Amino acid sequence: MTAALCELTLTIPRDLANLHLATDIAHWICRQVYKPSLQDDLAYAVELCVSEACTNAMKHAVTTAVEDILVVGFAAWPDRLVIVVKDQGPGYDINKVPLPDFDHHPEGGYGIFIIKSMMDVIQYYQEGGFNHLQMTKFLTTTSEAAVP
Amino acid sequence: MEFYEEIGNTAAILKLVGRLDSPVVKDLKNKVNDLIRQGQVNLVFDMADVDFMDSSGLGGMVAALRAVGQAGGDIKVARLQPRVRTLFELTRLHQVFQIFQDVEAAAQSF
Repeated sequence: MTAALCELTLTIPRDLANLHLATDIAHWICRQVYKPSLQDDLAYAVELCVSEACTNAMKHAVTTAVEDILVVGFAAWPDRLVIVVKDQGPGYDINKVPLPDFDHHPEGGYGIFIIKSMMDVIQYYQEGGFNHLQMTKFLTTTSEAAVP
Repeated sequence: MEFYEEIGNTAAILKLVGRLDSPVVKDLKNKVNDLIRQGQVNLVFDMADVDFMDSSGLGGMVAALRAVGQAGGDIKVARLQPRVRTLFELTRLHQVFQIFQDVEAAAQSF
């Protein structure tokens, strides 16, 4: 059974001031764990989706829990990167999130659309008092891409 | 994020440097409102040094566009990095903002 290259869990107060802690880890995994083999566009997509998921949770996952925290888990496998963002907010039905209003272009409402567009598998579920937004990106490395 | 402004004959050039995401959106809105108060309503956003942007950053740009629009102006965007441009296209905001290859062409378009 193939082992994960790297597994990390970040637990932070649910505050936008901490957003870059999560995106920096995503960036670090893409650049240091996978090294230059990961395509730039794919690395950008991963960092972008972490930013979108964490921003959503930091803005909207209001809770009365004693510890108002956000947990972000990263599991880097040779063929895929799995990221789970856990919050204690009221939750939502990810299948009922509407498409952005492309006719009027409001300031918000693009985040889940972007995640669905850029990630390969999205799962949303409740477990252990937390909402889990789990995002999986299957990886194409530049070395693999170069194979005819 | 850092902002550098230059007032030209046809527009004010606002160079954005760094990440454009939720923690700095308020700074962008404040900067644009400052320019509007100075009478600068035609703006060019020079985005060459914006290496990361998410939907919150896009939302901030939409808010800025609405603000200058209400004052009778417009925002043109120049020198988008390819991955940032992809985000504009995915969210169809490339149909809302006029995008230029260089700052001069954007400024002369007003």
